[in-house]
Amino acid sequence: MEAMPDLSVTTRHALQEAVLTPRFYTTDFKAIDALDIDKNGLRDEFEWIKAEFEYDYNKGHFKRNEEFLADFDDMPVRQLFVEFLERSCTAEFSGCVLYAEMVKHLKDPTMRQIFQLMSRDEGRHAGFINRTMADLNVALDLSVLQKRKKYTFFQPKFIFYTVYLSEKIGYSRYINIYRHLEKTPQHIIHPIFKWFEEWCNDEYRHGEFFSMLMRSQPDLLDKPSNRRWIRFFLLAVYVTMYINDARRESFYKALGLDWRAYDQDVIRLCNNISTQVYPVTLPVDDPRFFAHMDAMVAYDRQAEALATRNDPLAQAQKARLRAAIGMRMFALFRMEPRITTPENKWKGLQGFPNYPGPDRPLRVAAAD
Amino acid sequence: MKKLSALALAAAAGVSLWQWFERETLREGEATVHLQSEHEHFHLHVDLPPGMEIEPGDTLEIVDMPQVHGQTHGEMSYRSPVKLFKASWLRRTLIKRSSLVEVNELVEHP
Repeated sequence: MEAMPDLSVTTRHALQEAVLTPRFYTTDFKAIDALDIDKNGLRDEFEWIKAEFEYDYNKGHFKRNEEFLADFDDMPVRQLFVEFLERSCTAEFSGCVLYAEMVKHLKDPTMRQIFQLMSRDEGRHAGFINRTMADLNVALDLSVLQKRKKYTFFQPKFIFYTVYLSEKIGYSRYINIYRHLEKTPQHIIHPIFKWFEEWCNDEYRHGEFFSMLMRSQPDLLDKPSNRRWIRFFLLAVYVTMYINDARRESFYKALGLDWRAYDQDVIRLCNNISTQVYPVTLPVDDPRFFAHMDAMVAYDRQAEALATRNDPLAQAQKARLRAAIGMRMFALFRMEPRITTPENKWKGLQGFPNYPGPDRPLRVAAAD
Repeated sequence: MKKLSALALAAAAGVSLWQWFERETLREGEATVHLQSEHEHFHLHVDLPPGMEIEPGDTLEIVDMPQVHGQTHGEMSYRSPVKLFKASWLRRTLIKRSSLVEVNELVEHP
């Protein structure tokens, strides 16, 4: 169903402009290009996952249906939903640009093709959200793409750690929402949520590639300093998500979710998945873990309550609260990590294709 | 007097360092911009001219942007002048060493 009428003329809401703040990245492409992905015998795994991407499981998935034509003027938490779309579109768009930059700079044909196909997926997701915003009479202000764009530099290993986590936590968030709405369809405030299951499989698959990339470079996982970076990024991702979602409590409530229970489920799932590659993860089952996280949320709420005040006393209180959040984060970082063992290691997602070994039958490298 | 001179020297050194850090060199050229903003795909890729490379701390400005009101019909590829503001050696080195980490966007998934 491709030819859609322009719903923006029918909406009662005034034209709104979406504020995209996409990230543009740069990294040491030469260092990435110099990685020897053959040295640990993983070349065949890379070829296999390339064929998975080429198969393009979701080629026909992002087609809208008549449900998208409904009138969403009176949908609950409309503004929060629009903001949620903006953030999601920004993330997908940024991923698309990052992967495309990799394609431009890398020489290995397998790696180039993989990044090309992941860029395709992210751009496709961004387009789907883009159109959903247009339905809600929200126009994208594309001029932000033209203005001076600062390029954020990440060392290659930070790209691998963070993008891997981004993809896996993205999967964990989508699938938890999808499973919840499957059980409680009365909370589906927009049909886009029904697309989440297949959508998040793309995220999961991208994460599989980054997991493979890190496994091909054991230094990234074995060196003590790198293990500290892994814990740092896990913590940074969890804390950022927890505090952000606490601020958007009403959005999750509209979906019938308790943000706190939802976030804890997401963190547990992501932490479990990341044992597939990380030798250490965070001790999320220790009761002190979420006690610290809850304390940070409480400090953040107090700081938010002071946000409009600029008097010296309020400034001092805000500084004290930020320091308290920092101290809690440090306490979390110092907690004994969970060591990955053969018993607690992630065994893969049920029903999701895993690497079948070098003797696999050849697959048709195109979707039906 | 000695203390005052030392303080003045330190301040002058600080200001010089800051000016060095903030200094930018402008390079101009013509790039090819690929833009698609629609249901099927949303992306913007910029092919810079040979010799123009983005390094840590640099910023890029695309001078021309077509009037597309948020949506395109298919991918548009067009030539546009671009301005590349090259960061100072000091800024580039510091950014490269510290690898400024911005983790907020990592969790901005739905």
